[in-house]
Amino acid sequence: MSTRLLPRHAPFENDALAALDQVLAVASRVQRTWLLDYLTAVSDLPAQGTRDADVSVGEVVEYVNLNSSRSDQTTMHVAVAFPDGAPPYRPGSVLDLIGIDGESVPARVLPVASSRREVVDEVHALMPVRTGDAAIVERLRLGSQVRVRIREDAEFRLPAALGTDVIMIGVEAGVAPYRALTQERRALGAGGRSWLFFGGRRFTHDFLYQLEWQAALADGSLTRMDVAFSHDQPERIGVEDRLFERREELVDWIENGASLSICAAPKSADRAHFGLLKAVADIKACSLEVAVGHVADLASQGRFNQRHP
Amino acid sequence: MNDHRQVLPPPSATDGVGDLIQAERDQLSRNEHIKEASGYLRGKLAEALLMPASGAVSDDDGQLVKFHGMYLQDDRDLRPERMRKKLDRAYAFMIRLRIPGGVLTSKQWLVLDEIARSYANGSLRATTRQTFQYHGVIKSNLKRTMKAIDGALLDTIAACGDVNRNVLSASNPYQSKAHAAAYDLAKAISDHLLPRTGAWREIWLDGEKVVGGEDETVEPIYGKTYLPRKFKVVVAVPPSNDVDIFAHDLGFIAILDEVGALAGWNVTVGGGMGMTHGEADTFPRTADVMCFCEPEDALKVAEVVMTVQRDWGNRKSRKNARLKYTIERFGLDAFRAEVERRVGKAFAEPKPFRFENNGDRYGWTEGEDGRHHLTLFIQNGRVRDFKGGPQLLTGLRRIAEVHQGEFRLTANQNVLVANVPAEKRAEIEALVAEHGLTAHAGTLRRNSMACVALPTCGLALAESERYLPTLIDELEACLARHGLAEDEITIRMTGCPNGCARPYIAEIGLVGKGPKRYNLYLGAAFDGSRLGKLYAEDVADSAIVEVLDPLLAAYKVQRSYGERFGDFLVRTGYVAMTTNGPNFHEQTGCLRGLS
Repeated sequence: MSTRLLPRHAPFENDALAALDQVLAVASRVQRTWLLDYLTAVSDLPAQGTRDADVSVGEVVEYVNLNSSRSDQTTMHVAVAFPDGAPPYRPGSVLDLIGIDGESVPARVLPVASSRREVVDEVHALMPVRTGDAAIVERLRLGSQVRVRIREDAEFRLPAALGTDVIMIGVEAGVAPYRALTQERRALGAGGRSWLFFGGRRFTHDFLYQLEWQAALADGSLTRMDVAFSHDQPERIGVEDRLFERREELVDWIENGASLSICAAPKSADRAHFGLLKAVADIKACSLEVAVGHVADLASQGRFNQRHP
Repeated sequence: MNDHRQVLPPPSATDGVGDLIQAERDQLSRNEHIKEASGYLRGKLAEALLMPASGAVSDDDGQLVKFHGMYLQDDRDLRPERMRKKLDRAYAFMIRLRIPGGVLTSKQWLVLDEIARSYANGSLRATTRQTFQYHGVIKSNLKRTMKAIDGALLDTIAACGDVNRNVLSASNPYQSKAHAAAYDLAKAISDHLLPRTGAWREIWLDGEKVVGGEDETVEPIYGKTYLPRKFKVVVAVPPSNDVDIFAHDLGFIAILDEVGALAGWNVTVGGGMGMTHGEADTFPRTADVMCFCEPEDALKVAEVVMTVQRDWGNRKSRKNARLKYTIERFGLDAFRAEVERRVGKAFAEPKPFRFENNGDRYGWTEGEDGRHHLTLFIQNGRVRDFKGGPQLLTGLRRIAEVHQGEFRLTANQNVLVANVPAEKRAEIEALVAEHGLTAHAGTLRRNSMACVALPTCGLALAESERYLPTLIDELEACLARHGLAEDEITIRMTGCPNGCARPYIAEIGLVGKGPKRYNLYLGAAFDGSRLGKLYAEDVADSAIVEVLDPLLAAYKVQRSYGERFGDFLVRTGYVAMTTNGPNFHEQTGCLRGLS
């Protein structure tokens, strides 16, 4: 079976990827490593060894704070162009920013926010600016030559099967992998449905990639979207509240085989996770402990994972 | 009235009237089709509220939300950066309340204050039509806001749109009985001419949907296409013309008998401000005083004037759809005859009356009934806490917490703390002082008004509320140089020619033409009874003082005793007199050499 997966740009590649995911889901760790190494060698998939990927040099062609000038947050959208083509990567990858204009910077891991199938020669990543990012912020600008390494996060595997429904839960910069996945699924003509839960502080000022989500909803590459903005009303509302509000359909999607993924900072991710458990417990009329078991089952089937951006 | 509704041609009308209206019915404006198809103002609003990725509604629904009291706007300051940041326009809604006569209880005030801080931009904006509006309410907060408004026993129905808008009543704190009569009529008209559709409760309060029904039961007065255009009603009590009666479609002037009791009302029709730059067939117009009616006929007259306009008004061109154009087209006599026919009686000629001014008197006054009233100047109606300035939002909240009377919003964007018992006065005075609510404002500033304009109003061509205070700083310095610092002159600015702040009946009227550029209108009457005239076109903001300076110098030297600035300019021939709308665009410019 695996040999049929391998030819680069083969017409059946999409289905092959889906099949591969199923194989990987049940593969042992050793088998998985072997398979991925083999695939990388013969296809355009990125290198898998977390630290062994090649370092590439590219130029920053877009560098913009996606939060409005009235926001109290800063989230930089960094687009890096590689004249000879971007190194291979998949949705869910991360980008290590290693050097700027010939100088080393303290390595910064950024979530990749693009699909190579859509942006071709570029890689987009999101950088939520935090204290400690001064060295990077001071130097990075449009036109900077950056040294980057793009690699997969071994713990974070987005579903590659195009026929599968996906539920994506992203808070703030945690939305990056879902932009990548949505681009990927649009480029490959995914048949499955997709549902994005996005959370941020304020609708008007912190709605990362708002125009793109509108376009994705219009062209069908995103089936549904729910949003939660914590600072827009007197009480805090987060994606966990939306998950619970939509619990009936949410569980319906899951039972129909949907994969779930959460990408958010630790606190938000915990809240979202808890919201998911509550939703499952409520619909299945079970205790939270039993709901934990359900979600663990999903995880063991490769249908649920979670990461911090 | 049902037998007259939408019947064409109107039975009493001449053939000319019927033919003209029929011809227009064959070429209806787009808005007429939107209204017709909306299912009594529902459109697709309920669905639009469920689309979380967009802060907007569709263009068609954007027309319909006006009838629900709101406008879709966006922060125009932020437009340049949004596309680059992959953000949609910073959409938010302006929500305008319906507050007949501008009267609010303290309890209602406190709710409105809380909404301002929770869902809007931290301010209450007093309008020029005795109500408050909120800015910056995002789509996801609309229902919460409307539910909170409903909780205060208020609503926003028909605060905008092609319907009878908020009805104004004199804020007059002196003649308590006449004020009560004026308020009662305003309230009765507001209730009677309120759209009956259940759309507002259904969409905003999740009310039950009432399906079906014919015009006669759903909208017995309006029918499914409502009015051709907005319709504004006011009630005045002379000698104050604080409601600017000549600027409104329909007005009632209280006529009092020898003992100060109400004898009846003079009825005015056909006033309106809006026009379009460069289109001479659009113009502001001062209302005609049509007739006198008995107190018991006033409500019927209001309904009939509105329904004749409903049937005769231009539904082809929205720019020519207001009642003022209907009266220009068919003549006051034909209009009056149709009103009398529909009411079923002939009316007497108007009684004499006299207005003295169209502004507010500030400070404490005592009414006939011994109650005390405090009129507070609110610059451009913006009730918020100013850094280093008056703490208007907090101060008025504190007053509302102890005040047991009422608040009245004036048509000049000010706030009146009304019906204060003598023993409460000291407590309120202390709060006024603590929050700097009567921080010194010069005479010109106290006679100024500006519309909102940028950054929220989609129609604005130039700044208004954010710029007028600065211009007044400069003008007050100029007036002081001429020894005119204490002279009352009305000055009003709008960011576009639609005229929300009624600039065409201010002695100095400034109307936005483009960024930092204004048309300057001069020669209007101080009491709001005569329009100004275009004096200088497309003036750079930095040149406004320079243009006015020689006129003010001449005014100081050449005026006769007690003569107002606008009257002076007309008498001495610097500007031509505008007798009414049709000659508004004639003989413009400076007609006399300046020394």
